Amino acid sequence: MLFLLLLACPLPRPAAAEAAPVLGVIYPDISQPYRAVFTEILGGIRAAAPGRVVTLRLADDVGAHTVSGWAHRNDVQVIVALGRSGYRLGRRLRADLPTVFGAVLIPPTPGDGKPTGISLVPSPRALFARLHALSPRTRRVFVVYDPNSNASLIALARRAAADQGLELVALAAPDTRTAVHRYRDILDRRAHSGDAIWLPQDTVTVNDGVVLPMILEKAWEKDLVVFSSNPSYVQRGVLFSLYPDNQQMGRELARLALSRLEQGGSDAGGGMQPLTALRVAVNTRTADHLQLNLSRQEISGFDLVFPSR
Amino acid sequence: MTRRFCAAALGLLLAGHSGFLFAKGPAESDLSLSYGNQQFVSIATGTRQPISQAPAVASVITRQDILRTGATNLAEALEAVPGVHVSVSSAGYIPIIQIRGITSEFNPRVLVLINGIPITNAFLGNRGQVWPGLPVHDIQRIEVIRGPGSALYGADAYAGVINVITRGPDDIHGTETGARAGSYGTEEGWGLHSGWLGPVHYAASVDLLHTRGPHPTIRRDAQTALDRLMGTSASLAPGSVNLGKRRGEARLDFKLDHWRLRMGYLGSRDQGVGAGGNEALDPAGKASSDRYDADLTWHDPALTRNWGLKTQVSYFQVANRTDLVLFPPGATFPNGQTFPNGVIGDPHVYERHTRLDVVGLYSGWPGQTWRIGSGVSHENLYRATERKNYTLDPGGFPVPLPGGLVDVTNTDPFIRPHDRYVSYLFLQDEWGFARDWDLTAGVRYDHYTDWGKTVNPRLALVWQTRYNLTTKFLYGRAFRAPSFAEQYNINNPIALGNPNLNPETIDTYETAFDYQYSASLRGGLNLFYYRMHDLIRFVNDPSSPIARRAQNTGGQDGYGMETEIEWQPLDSYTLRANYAYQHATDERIHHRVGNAPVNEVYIRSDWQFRPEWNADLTIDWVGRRYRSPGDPRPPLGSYTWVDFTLRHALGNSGLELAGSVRNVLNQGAKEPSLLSTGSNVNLPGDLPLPGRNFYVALDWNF
Repeated sequence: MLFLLLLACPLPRPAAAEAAPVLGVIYPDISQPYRAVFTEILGGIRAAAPGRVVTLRLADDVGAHTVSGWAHRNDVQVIVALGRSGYRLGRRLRADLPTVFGAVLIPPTPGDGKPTGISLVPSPRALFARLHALSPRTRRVFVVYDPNSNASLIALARRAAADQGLELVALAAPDTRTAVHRYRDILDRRAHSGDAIWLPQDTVTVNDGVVLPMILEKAWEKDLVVFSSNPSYVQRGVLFSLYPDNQQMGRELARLALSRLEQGGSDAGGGMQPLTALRVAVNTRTADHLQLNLSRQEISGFDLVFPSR
Repeated sequence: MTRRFCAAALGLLLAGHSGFLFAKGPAESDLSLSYGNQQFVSIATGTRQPISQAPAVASVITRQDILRTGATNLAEALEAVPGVHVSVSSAGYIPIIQIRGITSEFNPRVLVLINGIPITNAFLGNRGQVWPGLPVHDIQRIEVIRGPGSALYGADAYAGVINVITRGPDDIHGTETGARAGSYGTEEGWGLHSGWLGPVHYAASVDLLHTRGPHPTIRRDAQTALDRLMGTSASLAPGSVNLGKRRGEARLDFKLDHWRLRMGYLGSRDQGVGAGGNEALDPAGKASSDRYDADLTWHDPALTRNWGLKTQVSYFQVANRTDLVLFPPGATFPNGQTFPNGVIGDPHVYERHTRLDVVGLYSGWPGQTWRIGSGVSHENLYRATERKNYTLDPGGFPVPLPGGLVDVTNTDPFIRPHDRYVSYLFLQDEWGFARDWDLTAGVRYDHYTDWGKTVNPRLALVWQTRYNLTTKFLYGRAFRAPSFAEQYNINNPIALGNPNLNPETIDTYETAFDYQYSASLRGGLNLFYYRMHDLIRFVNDPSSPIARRAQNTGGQDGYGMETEIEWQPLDSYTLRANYAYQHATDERIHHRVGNAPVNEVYIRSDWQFRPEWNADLTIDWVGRRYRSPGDPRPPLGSYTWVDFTLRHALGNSGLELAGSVRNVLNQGAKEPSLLSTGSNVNLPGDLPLPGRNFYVALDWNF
């Protein structure tokens, strides 16, 4: 009965909400467990938006016209477009309505006039800060990247590394074969104990079945720190990874949307920002092997800890 | 290349057509690169992972495992764990969780926790004689530790520890409702919701079920033997076991900063008593139960730079009520007494448990983590009532009471109210003493106001042998506290209590290997040896020819192994298999310990053959079961239990349809009935399990 009462009781809404802008969220209509990602982002948006939040799930056949009509009917003043389909449709809407983009894996690209939003790509600055916190002796980071998709990310990373006193050795590899050669070169000759290898979100250079096991085995032997932006790699033996904090990402997207609205929808100072709302997954077995001496307090502050058995 | 070929071959074998592999949509691809595969999306959008409290041989059953295998209660879900088999008892068919061959009628040697809090009843040391089964919709995961855990968990963490973690506010996304209907008139409905009340994140859930229950046939029961002796025909055998019930569960969970308040209820009505409270079929007998639990927890893992602290106050209240016809109407006994209405007994037991636990973590010394904990609990059997229509004569046979069914709570009770306080202190250090070597050493002191003290140590040496191989060497001692029935039973000559009992203890030695052969293939091997001491049994007592009293008598030795593999050649396909072997001997008479399978094989094939379709096949081969010493029957044969579950997401509506067939092969599977007294077996044909049955279910998440 209490459960039913909880469901039935509407929560009080602040009086100011009536005057606050209506925020519209469009996101892909996909199944669980992926849908939970968008549910959590929505939770964050709702928590940070002062006014009404309306949502539209985008089925495959939804076009920009449908979205535009929905926004009009609901008096939407600013749109948060999530996911790939949100990005595709939102780009066509942004001429009419201020729109920000999120939960989409595109390289961070600052610049006036470009779509404004938050990418799923973790901030290199945050990655390097976490690297320094976990492994203070690391001074050099190797990364093999696909120049066709991640050149702008590497440019951002170079600045972040320089600011944090790290040497970033970035090696381009336009295909998996070249990537394997690059990694062999790094692992056999160039990297030394304490150096780090960064595995970006890149299907060309990081192959789960071939490249990753090779890196993990050699890194274990040579005391190299390996980090990534994919928490499943941490279970496999990567020291740490940063992955999205969905609730917090939602809050930041709401704030960004409101600030765009205040600017009158201008894309000045726009562009996709790297993700800074991040959670951390750590492999304590690897940390022990690297003799990083993590305290229980540090460990309890991580969001995912492996191995769990 | 070989591996790829095998994966491709498997794909063709399973699919039989070109639709085996499916492409992810762009949204899913983005999310897979950011969170990992589907399993990781679930993990990354849920609560934090547990940090294991001490090295052990452990398994985790996730919510996804439960959903995909179609398990409908805790007992079914546990079958997947290597070395664990769930048998049933004759009374109510309540689960007997057997770990590494350690088994007994009431199953007190396994500690079951809900959110870390024991749900043990003091009366028998088990989950209670009226156990309605724990529904699964509110379970986030189940952590199973095989081997001893008393150095951290205290009493009854003997053969293993099962910790059920319920779904908290972070684990439920929006609102979920569902319904299930299937064989035996089974209908179940559930609803879960999470949201915010100001700064408080809350979750609420309800689950309601009613069923007529499976009704396999018992051919001969305790009354059959009596009928032969007395020339009567009172037995209801052949007849079916009675497993109908109505069950309800509700949970509330509130989170605010470091605070957590959880409350739960699990209860049953009109619960059938299986093959009868006295192993004579009893269609009229009914049982009911109520369990309330609540805990208020304050947890700050980083209270200061070097200290973390968790404080928990918890409460558990349980009522087990059984209204039994122990022998059917017309039963006549060798003392010449006849019971036209049957032999009736209605024992009810009520308990309250309160606990206070404080655990601190200190990591101020480099390379070491100290865990220190202390607490006190009050176990209070505050009421035990009974109505019955008989008493026992000196020969142990029933004699009708004048006045028929009489309340004997104050005149001839089976137990009087008792309580005890338990206080404890533990200390554990996890020390990385050399590169890739960790030593965990712990000890726990428990003091019971009724039987005294016990000290239980634990040592674990963990060696990170290679980047993909971990080796563990483990030793632990555990204890089982004597139950109130074993200590304080009265007026029941065949099960008299003994207040001078010592706890049962067990010393266990284990070696465990965990090997990640490749990205898609992982394997594990555990070897164990244990020695149990001071086992509590009801043995002949000099007070009368029929009297049996609880005594510490003898021990048991056991050794064996568990091995498991997990192969995931594709994101959409996983094959898991495990094999367990155990060899246990009763040291008094050097006889193999009975009633648990010597060998068990479990295979699970899980295949998401379309984004919206999942097929899951489990095959559980339960090997031969030896009989107890004195049981004249030949060993009970093996059986193969196959379940198949198909799940289908209806577009992206949040609707999911599931269909499950249990015991697909319709095998006449049986679990062992137990020896009664001497060489008598009341149910010589053992305990038949349900035949092929099915259900369909619909879930809606919005």
